[in-house]
Amino acid sequence: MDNLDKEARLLGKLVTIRESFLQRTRSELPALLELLGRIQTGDSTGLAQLQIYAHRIHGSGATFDFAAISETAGQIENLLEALIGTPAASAVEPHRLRCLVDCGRRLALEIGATTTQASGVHR
Amino acid sequence: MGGKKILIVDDDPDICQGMRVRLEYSGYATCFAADALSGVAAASKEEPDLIVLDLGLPAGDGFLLIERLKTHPTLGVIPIIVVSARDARANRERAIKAGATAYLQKPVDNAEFLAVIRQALVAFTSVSLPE
Repeated sequence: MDNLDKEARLLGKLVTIRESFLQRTRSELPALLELLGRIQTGDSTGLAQLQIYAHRIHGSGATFDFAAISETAGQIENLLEALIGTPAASAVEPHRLRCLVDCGRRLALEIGATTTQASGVHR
Repeated sequence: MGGKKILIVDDDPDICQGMRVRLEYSGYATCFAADALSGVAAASKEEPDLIVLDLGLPAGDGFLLIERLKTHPTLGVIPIIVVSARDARANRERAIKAGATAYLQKPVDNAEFLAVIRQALVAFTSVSLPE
């Protein structure tokens, strides 16, 4: 196999992995929104799970070149860091909670609007 | 550097696969662990030449793994490259102090990633080999 073939195969594999990331993130979206809804009603039991989702999307989104998705997930992760350890979400400052919910909605829109053709794959 | 084995410790399967295809393309063999504790077990079993480590892991974060490995009598010499989305300002110094060889923030440029790995392996080999 010559180098061009090898490179083409590598790029093909990376495109497949990118698609897999986007598909999995889309499939996790309902759970993520449900957790946000619970937090809005004062239930803080889902904060840790939400942080796991946000961390994954932040890191993988950046790695696979989905900059907007990664950035919004990073904002959610940062907001959650301040909230984790708070005894109840109801004790959280309302503006923080609003920011979190706004970021969650924005993330949902960005994930919904993103296609794998939107940007390239870097070797 | 062909034939060297790299252990990837990351709980995200897409990240693991992305690193796997890039590293194998460059001639490295790879193995995986998804959390800090299984990372220690995998390092014992696989005896990798280098470890690529995420910090945000279930069952104890990446710092726990660095701590466990660096106090291990035989695994402590394996170079660890931390690759994390966490804020580098807050975590780089801590990781290096704990014993990591390098800290790269996601997203990682592939050329830089491979260069850092190669550099760490060269340093590791020259330390490990007898004169």
